[in-house]
Amino acid sequence: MEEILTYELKVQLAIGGIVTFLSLFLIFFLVTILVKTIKLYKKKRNLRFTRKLESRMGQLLALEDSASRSQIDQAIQQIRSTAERGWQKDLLAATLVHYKRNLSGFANALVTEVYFMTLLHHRQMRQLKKGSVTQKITAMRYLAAMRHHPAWYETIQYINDERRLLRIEASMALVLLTENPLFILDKLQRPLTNWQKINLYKQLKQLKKERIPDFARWLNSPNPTVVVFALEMISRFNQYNAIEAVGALLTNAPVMIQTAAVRTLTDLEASQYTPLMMDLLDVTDEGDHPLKKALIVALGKMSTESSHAQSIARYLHDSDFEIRFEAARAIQYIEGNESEFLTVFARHSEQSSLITQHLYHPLLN
Amino acid sequence: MTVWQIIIWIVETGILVYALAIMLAYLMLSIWSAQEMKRYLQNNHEIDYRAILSSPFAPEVSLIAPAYNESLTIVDNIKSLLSIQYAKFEIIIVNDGSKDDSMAKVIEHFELEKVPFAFDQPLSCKPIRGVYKSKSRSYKKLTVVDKENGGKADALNAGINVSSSALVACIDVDCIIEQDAILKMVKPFLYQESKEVIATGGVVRIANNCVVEDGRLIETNLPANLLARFQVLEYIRAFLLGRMGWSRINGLLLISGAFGMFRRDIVIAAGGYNHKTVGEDMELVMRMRKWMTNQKRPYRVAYIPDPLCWTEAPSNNKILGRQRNRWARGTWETLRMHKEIFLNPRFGNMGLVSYPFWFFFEWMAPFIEGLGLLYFLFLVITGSVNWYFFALMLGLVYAFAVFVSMLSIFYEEISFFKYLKRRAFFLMVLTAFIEPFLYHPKVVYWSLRGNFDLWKGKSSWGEMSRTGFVKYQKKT
Repeated sequence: MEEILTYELKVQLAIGGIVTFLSLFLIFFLVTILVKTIKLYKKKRNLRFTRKLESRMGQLLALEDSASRSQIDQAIQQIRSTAERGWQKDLLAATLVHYKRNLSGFANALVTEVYFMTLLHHRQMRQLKKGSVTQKITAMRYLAAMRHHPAWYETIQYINDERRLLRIEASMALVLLTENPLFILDKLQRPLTNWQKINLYKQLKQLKKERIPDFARWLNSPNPTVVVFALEMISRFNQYNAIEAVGALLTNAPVMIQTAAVRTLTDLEASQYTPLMMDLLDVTDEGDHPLKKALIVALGKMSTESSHAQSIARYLHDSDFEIRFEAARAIQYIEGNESEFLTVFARHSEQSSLITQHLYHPLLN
Repeated sequence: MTVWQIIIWIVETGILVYALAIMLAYLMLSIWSAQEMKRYLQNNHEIDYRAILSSPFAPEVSLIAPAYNESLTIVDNIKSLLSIQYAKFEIIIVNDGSKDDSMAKVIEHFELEKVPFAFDQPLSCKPIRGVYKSKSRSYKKLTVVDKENGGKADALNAGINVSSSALVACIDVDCIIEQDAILKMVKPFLYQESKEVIATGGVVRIANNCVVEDGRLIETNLPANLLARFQVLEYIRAFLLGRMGWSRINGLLLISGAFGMFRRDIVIAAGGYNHKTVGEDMELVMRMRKWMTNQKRPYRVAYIPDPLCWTEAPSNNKILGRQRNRWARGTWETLRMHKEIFLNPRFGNMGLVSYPFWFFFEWMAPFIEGLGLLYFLFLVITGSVNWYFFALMLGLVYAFAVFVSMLSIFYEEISFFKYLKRRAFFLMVLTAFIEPFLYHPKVVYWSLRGNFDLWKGKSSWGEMSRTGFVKYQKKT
């Protein structure tokens, strides 16, 4: 070791290290100043441009639907002349999409017209094909927001992309770009994430009622997360015609799907299924806690039969607190506060007494 | 060579190897951090978080904040928390046996009434005296738990017991939480595919000298106080460089106790917060990770580099010293409790990379520095110092430290750009130059002191007095 690391070598390495790190410091220092200066400059520049753009947009949107074609064209031409450079067009696109999402009627139509008349759709199609990941994502969102249907062909190529971000964005964009909003559910090979569900639902809410698909067609999907999503959507959009198809899933389906089916039937107030739910509760395994809970909640909300209350009463002594609590609540719904089961339950232990008091207290219900 | 020469050679070579290793480790962290930052910024480019806000699929979140003797600021802090943007959340304030009038103030201001609140108690905690809800619909989301004093970990466990949400966010009651913090922290849980996300950590920033209005941060400024400014730089390094890097390789061992979000079921399965350590935040994350590994369930601990939580940094040596003393004790206690992770391949990067890093470069670093100082003093006394070589070595370490700080400032500028003014940038660079001389030695001393106190049997938190945000300038 002494021979390898001589004193001279150590000195040279130390000097080399100092020079290297100080040089790196200087490089990052200068780059940071440059980045900061550019950011501050861009911030001011964008602010100036946005104010000018909003002023012109304001003039356009102030036109009523009785305005002449030439007035509209003139206003659009003014906006077009404002956005000539690439960064200006990107800001214009962002502004138009923002307006599109927040305006309706004639104003909304004007915004769409500006978007197409300024050829922003061409720019975004180019970005979708050849841009960076960030540009592709932005392009997908904007083209979808503007309902530029020819973009679906480029977008669908990302539906099973390795890059998760592109997959998710593509699935959301396609809801708005096709006549068949959720056809991607047929093509989805991976589990549907909660993030995708949130955004798909957001897109679906923007559609007109007649374009909302019949979600029952996905109840037989080989992808269980798609089945669960379909069940949730049946609830959200009150598709009562799907009740029978949902009811069929109470038997002969994985527990996850059974649980979602129970919740859907509860939301749709399908009380005709309470006897079947009662039977299912009797055979549910100890470990299937979510299913057991969902069944008890469902029976509490939909059943009116005392026999059901009697069957549920045995869960008042379940080892799981949540089950005990929901069982007490279910009995309260079925039989009211004067239920004999609850009176006896309240005397059983301090916690049982607390559960019944909790259920009766106005601030907690 | 004589025995004495051999000892000297071992000490010198050991210190040199250690220094090179720590430099290499930080360089690796910088690279991982850059990769993770790029990925995060790309994944979160113009995300419409409002989709979560109004979605029925958004998970319920319980915000749990322990409070002890917070009479000065508790009402303002709770009002600030109530203004957070999220549809399905509740706030659980746990009054941990305060000796002042915190509880009385809260009851009066929020019109609270004691209620028969039924809940399970999977986690042990000191007896709960009562649970309170508000008679006013405006404060429907607020639950206040009054309990006997048991410490922060105990209070958090009580809050977790009372909550019924799938996710729990454990925060410090005196922190300012950004309005969209919950939206951003929840996103990794929603994004998960093959690996379960069990926890997310947020960045904590220093709020000293920032403009706060109605519990919201309006303007970001660097602290006027030098000690607080050193901490700003330290926090940027730790969060943007350190934790981003660890997050890249799923090796994050620590989520700040000031703001972290967890899967409630996993916290309970792992046993909740541990009362026996003052480093309960780090200890919980390590135990949750161990539990998931033992269950053979693929998982991830996510990290959000967005500044979401702002806290008051200690601005005098006494309070800061207590804090760092506690951190040092907590680090060792946690590492000792989970020593089976050390170099254990079963725990993946946590065992092979993160734990060894924390052991050698976080816990051991003050001892090595102390040893180096003693050795230097020995050389001075014996007249054996090669002053030229000493200056070179000092210069090398100093240049590296300044470079790492500059890199952190660079990451801050290209990512979140919170300190807008040029003056703030130059001030931070200047701080980076003087930090190794004026701040770092104190941190080393407090760490050594912490370990010494632990050896003597000290286990308390120490008093952390606050001045409160109300004293910061208000925008006129």
